[in-house]
Amino acid sequence: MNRHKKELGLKIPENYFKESRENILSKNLNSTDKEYSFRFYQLSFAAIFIFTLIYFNYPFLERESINFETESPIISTILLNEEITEEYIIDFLTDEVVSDVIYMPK
Amino acid sequence: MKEGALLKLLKNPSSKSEGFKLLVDLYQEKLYWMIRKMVLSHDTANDVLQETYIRIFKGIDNFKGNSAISTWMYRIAYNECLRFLSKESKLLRVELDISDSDYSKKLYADSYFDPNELSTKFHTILSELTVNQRNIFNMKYFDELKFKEISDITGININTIKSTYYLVEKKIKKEINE
Repeated sequence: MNRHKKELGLKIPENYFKESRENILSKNLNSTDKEYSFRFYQLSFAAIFIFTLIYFNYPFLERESINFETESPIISTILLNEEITEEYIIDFLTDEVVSDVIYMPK
Repeated sequence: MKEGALLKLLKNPSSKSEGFKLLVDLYQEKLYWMIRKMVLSHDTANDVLQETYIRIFKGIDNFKGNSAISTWMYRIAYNECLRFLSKESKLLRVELDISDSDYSKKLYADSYFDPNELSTKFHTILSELTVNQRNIFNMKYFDELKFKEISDITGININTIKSTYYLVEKKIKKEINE
Protein backbone atom coordinates (compact mmCIF):
# COMPACT_ATOMS: atom_id res chain seq x y z
CA MET A 1 0.00 0.00 0.00
CA ASN A 2 3.04 2.27 -0.32
CA ARG A 3 1.72 3.36 -3.69
CA HIS A 4 -1.04 5.32 -1.95
CA LYS A 5 1.58 7.39 -0.19
CA LYS A 6 4.12 7.56 -2.99
CA GLU A 7 1.78 8.18 -5.92
CA LEU A 8 -1.20 9.82 -4.22
CA GLY A 9 0.34 11.40 -1.12
CA LEU A 10 -2.29 9.81 1.15
CA LYS A 11 -1.14 9.19 4.72
CA ILE A 12 -2.74 7.56 7.74
CA PRO A 13 -2.15 8.11 11.49
CA GLU A 14 0.32 5.86 13.26
CA ASN A 15 -1.15 2.49 14.35
CA TYR A 16 -4.34 3.42 12.56
CA PHE A 17 -5.25 -0.07 11.36
CA LYS A 18 -4.59 -1.61 14.76
CA GLU A 19 -6.88 0.90 16.49
CA SER A 20 -9.48 0.72 13.76
CA ARG A 21 -9.55 -3.09 14.09
CA GLU A 22 -10.25 -2.80 17.83
CA ASN A 23 -13.04 -0.27 17.19
CA ILE A 24 -14.70 -2.42 14.54
CA LEU A 25 -14.59 -5.53 16.71
CA SER A 26 -15.83 -3.80 19.86
CA LYS A 27 -18.68 -2.10 17.98
CA ASN A 28 -19.92 -5.28 16.36
CA LEU A 29 -19.08 -8.17 18.65
CA ASN A 30 -20.06 -6.44 21.91
CA SER A 31 -23.28 -5.05 20.49
CA THR A 32 -24.70 -8.49 19.67
CA ASP A 33 -25.75 -9.41 23.23
CA LYS A 34 -27.28 -5.99 23.89
CA GLU A 35 -29.17 -6.17 20.61
CA TYR A 36 -30.62 -9.61 21.39
CA SER A 37 -31.77 -8.61 24.88
CA PHE A 38 -33.29 -5.38 23.52
CA ARG A 39 -35.15 -7.34 20.84
CA PHE A 40 -36.36 -9.82 23.49
CA TYR A 41 -37.88 -6.97 25.56
CA GLN A 42 -39.43 -5.42 22.46
CA LEU A 43 -41.09 -8.71 21.45
CA SER A 44 -42.31 -9.42 25.00
CA PHE A 45 -43.85 -5.97 25.25
CA ALA A 46 -45.58 -6.37 21.87
CA ALA A 47 -46.97 -9.79 22.86
CA ILE A 48 -48.35 -8.46 26.17
CA PHE A 49 -49.91 -5.48 24.41
CA ILE A 50 -51.64 -7.64 21.78
CA PHE A 51 -52.87 -10.10 24.43
CA THR A 52 -54.31 -7.25 26.52
CA LEU A 53 -56.09 -5.80 23.50
CA ILE A 54 -57.69 -9.13 22.63
CA TYR A 55 -58.61 -9.93 26.23
CA PHE A 56 -60.44 -6.65 26.84
CA ASN A 57 -62.08 -6.36 23.45
CA TYR A 58 -63.35 -9.86 22.73
CA PRO A 59 -66.38 -10.00 25.16
CA PHE A 60 -67.33 -6.48 24.12
CA LEU A 61 -67.48 -7.45 20.44
CA GLU A 62 -69.47 -10.57 21.25
CA ARG A 63 -72.10 -8.56 23.13
CA GLU A 64 -72.49 -6.20 20.21
CA SER A 65 -73.24 -9.02 17.79
CA ILE A 66 -75.96 -10.38 20.16
CA ASN A 67 -77.61 -6.96 20.26
CA PHE A 68 -77.72 -6.79 16.50
CA GLU A 69 -79.39 -10.16 16.33
CA THR A 70 -82.20 -9.34 18.75
CA GLU A 71 -83.01 -5.69 18.19
CA SER A 72 -83.41 -5.33 14.46
CA PRO A 73 -85.74 -7.35 12.21
CA ILE A 74 -83.67 -6.42 9.17
CA ILE A 75 -80.36 -7.63 10.63
CA SER A 76 -82.11 -10.64 12.01
CA THR A 77 -83.25 -11.62 8.51
CA ILE A 78 -79.75 -11.14 7.16
CA LEU A 79 -78.29 -13.32 9.89
CA LEU A 80 -80.93 -16.00 9.44
CA ASN A 81 -80.70 -15.72 5.65
CA GLU A 82 -84.45 -15.16 5.28
CA GLU A 83 -86.34 -12.87 2.96
CA ILE A 84 -87.85 -9.69 4.41
CA THR A 85 -91.57 -9.78 3.86
CA GLU A 86 -94.23 -7.69 5.46
CA GLU A 87 -95.50 -10.82 7.13
CA TYR A 88 -92.08 -11.47 8.66
CA ILE A 89 -91.77 -7.93 10.03
CA ILE A 90 -95.28 -8.06 11.53
CA ASP A 91 -94.56 -11.44 13.13
CA PHE A 92 -91.24 -10.21 14.49
CA LEU A 93 -92.69 -7.01 15.96
CA THR A 94 -95.68 -8.83 17.41
CA ASP A 95 -93.35 -11.24 19.22
CA GLU A 96 -91.30 -8.35 20.58
CA VAL A 97 -94.36 -6.35 21.71
CA VAL A 98 -96.06 -9.34 23.24
CA SER A 99 -93.02 -10.43 25.19
CA ASP A 100 -92.43 -6.85 26.42
CA VAL A 101 -96.03 -5.88 27.27
CA ILE A 102 -97.90 -8.91 28.54
CA TYR A 103 -97.34 -9.39 32.20
CA MET A 104 -98.02 -12.83 33.50
CA PRO A 105 -99.05 -12.76 37.16
CA LYS A 106 -97.90 -15.61 39.35
CA MET B 1 -7.86 -19.75 4.56
CA LYS B 2 -10.18 -20.79 1.74
CA GLU B 3 -13.41 -18.90 1.19
CA GLY B 4 -15.62 -21.94 1.83
CA ALA B 5 -14.05 -22.49 5.25
CA LEU B 6 -14.36 -18.81 6.09
CA LEU B 7 -18.04 -18.83 5.18
CA LYS B 8 -18.61 -21.90 7.35
CA LEU B 9 -17.12 -20.05 10.29
CA LEU B 10 -19.30 -17.00 9.62
CA LYS B 11 -22.53 -18.94 9.18
CA ASN B 12 -22.12 -20.88 12.41
CA PRO B 13 -23.33 -18.75 15.39
CA SER B 14 -20.69 -20.24 17.70
CA SER B 15 -17.81 -19.31 15.37
CA LYS B 16 -19.25 -16.14 13.78
CA SER B 17 -17.06 -13.86 15.94
CA GLU B 18 -13.92 -15.74 14.94
CA GLY B 19 -14.89 -15.55 11.27
CA PHE B 20 -15.65 -11.85 11.54
CA LYS B 21 -12.22 -11.17 13.08
CA LEU B 22 -10.69 -12.88 10.07
CA LEU B 23 -12.76 -10.70 7.72
CA VAL B 24 -11.43 -7.61 9.49
CA ASP B 25 -7.83 -8.86 9.40
CA LEU B 26 -7.99 -9.83 5.75
CA TYR B 27 -9.88 -6.91 4.23
CA GLN B 28 -9.69 -3.92 6.55
CA GLU B 29 -6.76 -2.25 4.79
CA LYS B 30 -8.01 -3.01 1.28
CA LEU B 31 -11.47 -1.64 2.04
CA TYR B 32 -10.02 1.42 3.73
CA TRP B 33 -7.93 2.39 0.69
CA MET B 34 -10.82 1.90 -1.70
CA ILE B 35 -13.02 4.08 0.50
CA ARG B 36 -10.30 6.69 1.05
CA LYS B 37 -9.82 7.22 -2.67
CA MET B 38 -13.55 7.74 -3.08
CA VAL B 39 -14.18 10.10 -0.14
CA LEU B 40 -10.63 11.57 0.03
CA SER B 41 -10.55 12.57 3.71
CA HIS B 42 -9.05 10.17 6.26
CA ASP B 43 -11.64 10.92 8.98
CA THR B 44 -14.51 10.33 6.59
CA ALA B 45 -12.89 7.16 5.29
CA ASN B 46 -12.61 5.91 8.86
CA ASP B 47 -16.31 6.59 9.54
CA VAL B 48 -17.36 4.91 6.29
CA LEU B 49 -15.14 1.91 7.03
CA GLN B 50 -16.70 1.44 10.49
CA GLU B 51 -20.19 1.72 8.99
CA THR B 52 -19.24 -0.74 6.25
CA TYR B 53 -18.19 -3.36 8.80
CA ILE B 54 -21.41 -2.86 10.77
CA ARG B 55 -23.36 -3.59 7.58
CA ILE B 56 -21.15 -6.58 6.81
CA PHE B 57 -21.68 -8.02 10.29
CA LYS B 58 -25.45 -7.55 10.12
CA GLY B 59 -25.73 -8.80 6.55
CA ILE B 60 -23.46 -11.83 6.67
CA ASP B 61 -26.34 -14.20 7.58
CA ASN B 62 -28.12 -13.19 4.36
CA PHE B 63 -25.03 -13.57 2.16
CA LYS B 64 -26.00 -16.18 -0.44
CA GLY B 65 -22.53 -16.80 -1.87
CA ASN B 66 -23.47 -15.66 -5.38
CA SER B 67 -20.17 -13.80 -5.58
CA ALA B 68 -16.85 -13.95 -3.75
CA ILE B 69 -17.14 -12.65 -0.21
CA SER B 70 -14.52 -9.98 -0.97
CA THR B 71 -16.61 -8.70 -3.91
CA TRP B 72 -19.67 -8.58 -1.67
CA MET B 73 -17.71 -6.59 0.94
CA TYR B 74 -16.31 -4.18 -1.66
CA ARG B 75 -19.86 -3.64 -2.97
CA ILE B 76 -21.08 -2.74 0.52
CA ALA B 77 -18.15 -0.33 0.94
CA TYR B 78 -18.78 1.20 -2.51
CA ASN B 79 -22.49 1.73 -1.75
CA GLU B 80 -21.64 3.17 1.65
CA CYS B 81 -19.32 5.69 -0.04
CA LEU B 82 -22.05 6.67 -2.50
CA ARG B 83 -24.48 7.06 0.38
CA PHE B 84 -22.02 9.32 2.18
CA LEU B 85 -21.24 11.36 -0.95
CA SER B 86 -24.91 11.92 -1.75
CA LYS B 87 -25.51 13.05 1.84
CA GLU B 88 -22.51 15.37 1.62
CA SER B 89 -23.68 16.92 -1.66
CA LYS B 90 -27.30 17.01 -0.42
CA LEU B 91 -28.44 15.14 -3.51
CA LEU B 92 -30.57 12.01 -3.69
CA ARG B 93 -27.96 10.33 -5.89
CA VAL B 94 -24.32 11.03 -6.65
CA GLU B 95 -23.73 12.29 -10.19
CA LEU B 96 -21.36 9.63 -11.49
CA ASP B 97 -20.99 10.95 -15.02
CA ILE B 98 -19.57 14.33 -14.13
CA SER B 99 -16.36 15.31 -12.38
CA ASP B 100 -16.33 16.28 -8.72
CA SER B 101 -15.87 20.06 -8.61
CA ASP B 102 -14.83 19.89 -4.93
CA TYR B 103 -12.16 17.22 -5.46
CA SER B 104 -9.10 19.43 -4.83
CA LYS B 105 -10.80 21.34 -2.03
CA LYS B 106 -11.58 18.13 -0.12
CA LEU B 107 -8.13 16.69 -0.78
CA TYR B 108 -6.13 19.70 0.38
CA ALA B 109 -8.36 20.19 3.44
CA ASP B 110 -7.34 16.77 4.75
CA SER B 111 -4.52 16.87 7.30
CA TYR B 112 -3.39 13.41 6.19
CA PHE B 113 -2.63 14.51 2.64
CA ASP B 114 1.06 15.02 1.97
CA PRO B 115 1.50 16.05 -1.65
CA ASN B 116 4.65 15.56 -3.72
CA GLU B 117 5.38 16.25 -7.39
CA LEU B 118 4.03 12.92 -8.62
CA SER B 119 0.90 12.91 -6.45
CA THR B 120 0.05 16.48 -7.45
CA LYS B 121 0.20 15.46 -11.12
CA PHE B 122 -1.87 12.35 -10.42
CA HIS B 123 -4.56 14.24 -8.54
CA THR B 124 -4.76 16.98 -11.16
CA ILE B 125 -5.63 14.34 -13.77
CA LEU B 126 -7.94 12.41 -11.44
CA SER B 127 -9.86 15.57 -10.55
CA GLU B 128 -10.72 16.08 -14.24
CA LEU B 129 -12.22 12.59 -14.63
CA THR B 130 -15.86 11.76 -14.05
CA VAL B 131 -16.60 10.02 -10.74
CA ASN B 132 -17.15 6.72 -12.56
CA GLN B 133 -13.92 6.99 -14.57
CA ARG B 134 -11.96 7.81 -11.42
CA ASN B 135 -13.47 4.92 -9.45
CA ILE B 136 -12.81 2.44 -12.26
CA PHE B 137 -9.21 3.59 -12.66
CA ASN B 138 -8.53 3.52 -8.91
CA MET B 139 -10.07 0.08 -8.42
CA LYS B 140 -8.00 -1.42 -11.24
CA TYR B 141 -4.71 0.43 -10.87
CA PHE B 142 -4.39 0.89 -7.10
CA ASP B 143 -6.69 -1.77 -5.61
CA GLU B 144 -5.68 -4.32 -8.28
CA LEU B 145 -9.20 -5.67 -8.71
CA LYS B 146 -10.18 -7.67 -11.79
CA PHE B 147 -12.47 -6.15 -14.42
CA LYS B 148 -15.18 -8.68 -13.53
CA GLU B 149 -14.97 -7.73 -9.85
CA ILE B 150 -15.21 -4.02 -10.67
CA SER B 151 -18.24 -4.75 -12.81
CA ASP B 152 -19.90 -6.69 -9.96
CA ILE B 153 -19.14 -3.95 -7.46
CA THR B 154 -20.26 -0.98 -9.52
CA GLY B 155 -22.95 -2.64 -11.62
CA ILE B 156 -21.35 -1.24 -14.80
CA ASN B 157 -20.99 -3.42 -17.90
CA ILE B 158 -17.59 -5.13 -18.04
CA ASN B 159 -16.82 -3.90 -21.58
CA THR B 160 -17.53 -0.31 -20.54
CA ILE B 161 -15.18 -0.79 -17.60
CA LYS B 162 -12.38 -2.15 -19.82
CA SER B 163 -12.66 0.63 -22.39
CA THR B 164 -12.89 3.30 -19.65
CA TYR B 165 -9.83 1.96 -17.88
CA TYR B 166 -7.63 1.78 -20.97
CA LEU B 167 -8.69 5.27 -22.02
CA VAL B 168 -7.89 6.76 -18.61
CA GLU B 169 -4.64 4.79 -18.27
CA LYS B 170 -3.45 6.12 -21.64
CA LYS B 171 -4.34 9.69 -20.65
CA ILE B 172 -2.55 9.41 -17.29
CA LYS B 173 0.60 7.86 -18.76
CA LYS B 174 0.76 10.58 -21.37
CA GLU B 175 0.26 13.46 -18.95
CA ILE B 176 2.59 12.12 -16.26
CA ASN B 177 5.42 11.59 -18.73
CA GLU B 178 5.05 15.06 -20.22
